[in-house]
Amino acid sequence: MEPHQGRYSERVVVVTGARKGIGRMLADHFLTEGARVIGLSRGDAAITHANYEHRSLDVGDNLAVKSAFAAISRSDGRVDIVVNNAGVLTSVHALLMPSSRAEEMVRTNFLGGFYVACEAAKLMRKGKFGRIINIGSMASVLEPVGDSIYAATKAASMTLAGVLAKEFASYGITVNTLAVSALQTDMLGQIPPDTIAAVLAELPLPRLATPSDVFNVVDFFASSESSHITAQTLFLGGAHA
Amino acid sequence: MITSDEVEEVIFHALEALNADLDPKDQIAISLATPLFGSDAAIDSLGFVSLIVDVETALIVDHELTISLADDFAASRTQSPYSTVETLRDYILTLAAGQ
Repeated sequence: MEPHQGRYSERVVVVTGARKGIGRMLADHFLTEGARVIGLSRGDAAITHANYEHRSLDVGDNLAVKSAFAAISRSDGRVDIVVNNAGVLTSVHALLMPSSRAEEMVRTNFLGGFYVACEAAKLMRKGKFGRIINIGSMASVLEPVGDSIYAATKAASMTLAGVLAKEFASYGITVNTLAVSALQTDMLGQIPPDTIAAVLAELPLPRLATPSDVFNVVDFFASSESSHITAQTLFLGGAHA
Repeated sequence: MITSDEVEEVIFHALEALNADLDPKDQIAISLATPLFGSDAAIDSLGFVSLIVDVETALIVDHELTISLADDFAASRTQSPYSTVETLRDYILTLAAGQ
């Protein structure tokens, strides 16, 4: 059988949080378009595909991330595109937020993205090409009640992307953020429907986002033609600071 | 356990990779006494980052030795472990011995 020829047929792509939600959608999308995809997440593999490899780890564990990328270096020798998607959400009033959940969100949503970006950049710099795409959230600017730490980690990741964009620019690596609005995922299921409706009502385009909305932006950021696009955050649905 | 000679080879190889991107007039003379950091060093800040990353990557990929060369322990030492190739080699061997 001939290898599938798609827009990513020559690319090695790492997707964090690839078991479900947006990460799963994006892993499937990259596979459909011919990429070799390495999924990182805490659970076991949820995808069976000849071009898919899964590594079970916590992205907030820096040593585990270093070991995973060393293994990728040995097996593939490169990484072209990283999607920093892994994230956890506990939505509760700040005065009721368990410290363990707060720390887990900081470790996974913020530090995990930093660790993965740095290890990926070490491989990307050799090829003078790299695309780091963070999955952000409209919560970072809409600041919904209950999302104190979650929104703050997403805002912090956007700031981090701006600095990394500068530090990695000379290596041919761009760092951008897709801030999604509400998308039908397991994570969204943790938020009461009336809360979602109220948040969506604040958007210029007040509807749930679709997978194709996500793919459209990720494909744009990942394109080799987007070499002059970095340190940008694109908000689905029109949310803005 | 990684040997002193193996660590030297890793550092020398990383310096050779740096030289490959430098003009002939800017080539770094490679020896155990080569300054890596500080006023005597011929390596700029980006070159130093590349050097440390190349050394860390080679240690983990080729020798399965996962260590961080830029940590609190390094910052707390009286003599910077990055002063010369020799001090960096000794620092790596210290970290390796602690694992």
